[in-house]
Amino acid sequence: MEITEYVKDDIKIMSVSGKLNAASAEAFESKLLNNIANGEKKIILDFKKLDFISSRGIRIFYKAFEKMQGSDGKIVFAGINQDIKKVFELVELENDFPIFKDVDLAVQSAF
Amino acid sequence: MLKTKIILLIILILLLSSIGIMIFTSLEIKNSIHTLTETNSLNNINLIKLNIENEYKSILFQKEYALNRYKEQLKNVTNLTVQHINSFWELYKKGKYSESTAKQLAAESLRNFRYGNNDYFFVYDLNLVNVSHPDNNIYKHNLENYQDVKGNFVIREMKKLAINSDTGYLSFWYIKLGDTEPAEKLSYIVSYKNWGWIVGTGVYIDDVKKDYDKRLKSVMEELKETFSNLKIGKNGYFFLFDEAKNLLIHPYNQGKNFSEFINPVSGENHINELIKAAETNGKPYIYFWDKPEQQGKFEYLKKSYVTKFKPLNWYIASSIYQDELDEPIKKILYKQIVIALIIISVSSLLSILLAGRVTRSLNILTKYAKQLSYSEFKALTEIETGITELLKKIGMKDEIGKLSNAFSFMINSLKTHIEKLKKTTAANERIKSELKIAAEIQSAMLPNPQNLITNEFEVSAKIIPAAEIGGDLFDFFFLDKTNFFFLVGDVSDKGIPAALFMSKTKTALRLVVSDIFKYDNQISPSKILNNLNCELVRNNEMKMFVTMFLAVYNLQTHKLSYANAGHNLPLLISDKIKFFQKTKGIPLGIKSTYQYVEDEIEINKGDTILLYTDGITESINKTEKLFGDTKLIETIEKYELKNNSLKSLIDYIIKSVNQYSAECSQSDDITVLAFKTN
Repeated sequence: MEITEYVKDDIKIMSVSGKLNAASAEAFESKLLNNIANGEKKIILDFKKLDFISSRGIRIFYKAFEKMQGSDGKIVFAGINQDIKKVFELVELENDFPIFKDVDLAVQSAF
Repeated sequence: MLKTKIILLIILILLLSSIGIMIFTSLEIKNSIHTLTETNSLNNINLIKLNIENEYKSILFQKEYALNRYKEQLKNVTNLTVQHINSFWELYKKGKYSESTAKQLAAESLRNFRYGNNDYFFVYDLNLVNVSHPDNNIYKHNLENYQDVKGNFVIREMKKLAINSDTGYLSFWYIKLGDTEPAEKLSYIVSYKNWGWIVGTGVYIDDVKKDYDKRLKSVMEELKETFSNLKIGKNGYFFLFDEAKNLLIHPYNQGKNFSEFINPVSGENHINELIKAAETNGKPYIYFWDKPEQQGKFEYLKKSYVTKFKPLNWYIASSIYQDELDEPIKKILYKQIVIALIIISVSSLLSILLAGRVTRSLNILTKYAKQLSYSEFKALTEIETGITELLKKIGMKDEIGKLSNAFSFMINSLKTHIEKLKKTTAANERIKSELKIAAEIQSAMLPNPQNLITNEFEVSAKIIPAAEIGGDLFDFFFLDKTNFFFLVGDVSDKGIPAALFMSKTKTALRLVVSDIFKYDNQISPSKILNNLNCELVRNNEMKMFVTMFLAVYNLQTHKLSYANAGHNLPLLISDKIKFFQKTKGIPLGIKSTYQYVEDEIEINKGDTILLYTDGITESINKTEKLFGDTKLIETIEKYELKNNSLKSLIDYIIKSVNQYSAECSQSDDITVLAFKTN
């Protein structure tokens, strides 16, 4: 797994590639939670290059979601593939997290 | 082993260097001996030549001296005689005698003149008629045709000399009484012009020649002595021959004439070749010859240097057997071999001692190294002390010392590491044993036995955790007489956290089920999930969640009601194999307000329901490809379900998965539960 981070229009974008599984989840989790702790209000998780996500990865989103509760912050997804979409549907993630086709659309929506 | 190797190596090195030195010195010595001997023999023949030259000069000088004395004597006595004759001429001139009387008186008186060894005078007139001679056979006879033994016309020669030069010496040869060889007679002639007389006398000078021969003979004797003392090698020698190819001095063929001798090998005239060699200015004649002890065996290479002494036409030659020059080399070689053998044996002895010392130290080290492994690192302190003592004994300077030092260092660090390891191992052991206990506790939480067969149905389940303990769970039990409850769940994550959450889930589930049963008396899978979800969301800081499929089978209605919390959809194995209808439901533990739904289907006799966790479908092979739904269905289709137990079906599925992911370690817990109606 590789994570690259950048900021566009005041929005923090975390681009994740490879596999988000038990082995790599911790690194991703600490980065994401760190960003929230640092006061990032708008975060786009760009999963265009993410191949696989495990249940351990799903947990991170709920954890992050909880951290965001009470603030006006928001996390959205961009560019998830079909396999990951199935996983998301299984846990009905889209109810809590908006999903966009790609990063540009996510940015345009400006949350 | 090492000791033998070291010793062998040392011996080999010594042997090789000895052989090298021997070959080198042999070649060197051979070269220099050959050169030296050849130069020597060349020098020797030149020395001999010089010696002969000196002797010869001395002989010549003696001869000349003797001859000159004779000449002086002849001149003096003849001059006196001429004065005697002249005194008669003067008397005639004074008129005392007539000329004929004066002549007569002079001639008569001369006949009685004697000197030396009864030597006499003679006078001839220009008609070569004798005027005065003691011998009556000659006196007054014409001796114009008188010849010596060599055919010289003696008196004619005398007249020629008298007319041409007035005075002079002449030599003629006569055989003396009792002799056979002609002897030289030296004559002095004076022309007495007043009367036209040729006055002369002669002496035998054969004593000069005899003396010369005597001296030459003694030179030859001396040379023979010298030659016999000069040896070259064992059989090499010097020899002397003259132009007539007589061997004047030769150790084996002295006095023989070799003019017709042909070298049997080369076919050349032997002496001619030697004569030719004399003209080559120091180049030898090389040929094959026999040896005195092996006569006729012309196989030995010889070299001859030859020089010529021209005044006597003598040839001085050396004769060297080439093989004999190598004799000293052989001797040196033998000595060298003896010396080399002594050196090698002494060195071997020393190297045995030294190598013994070295290998003893190494052996001690090896012993300690072995002890190290045999004793399983228990005797470290003992070994360390041993090495410290060894180090004291042998010092630290050489390689053995360094090795021992390194070994000591290694043992030290081993000690430290082992102590560290002991501590961590102890900690690990504790965790391990605790995990074992945890695993036992966990497995005790699952139904036991793991299969149940009744008249109406059969159920079987199996769980294989990836680690000692895992996050998968299953359960089955009768809610009452007609309702059989079963479920499969999968806690997100693995290991201890998952196991803890699994036990929490398991405990909560039993509580929830008994609560519902107690208060509602109505079995509702969705309600179980709702209540269980509430329990699990509470205090779930880590946001752990569990997916779960649970079902209740009514033995009377043959209906199966079920609810799903984000779990893999089970398979219904009937005529065909198909997945259960998809129902809404997120994993338990995330949202407390989530409302689960339930569904109901009718189960035919003989139908099988297969519940499983994603450990089955998400197990990967070495190309990281998932086992997947399709493969699972294929596996079940291949299996003869009718006549086999559910347990064997589960074993078969798990075996297939294991085979599929044989080269990868199991990454997730695997759980399968099968339910079949009869």
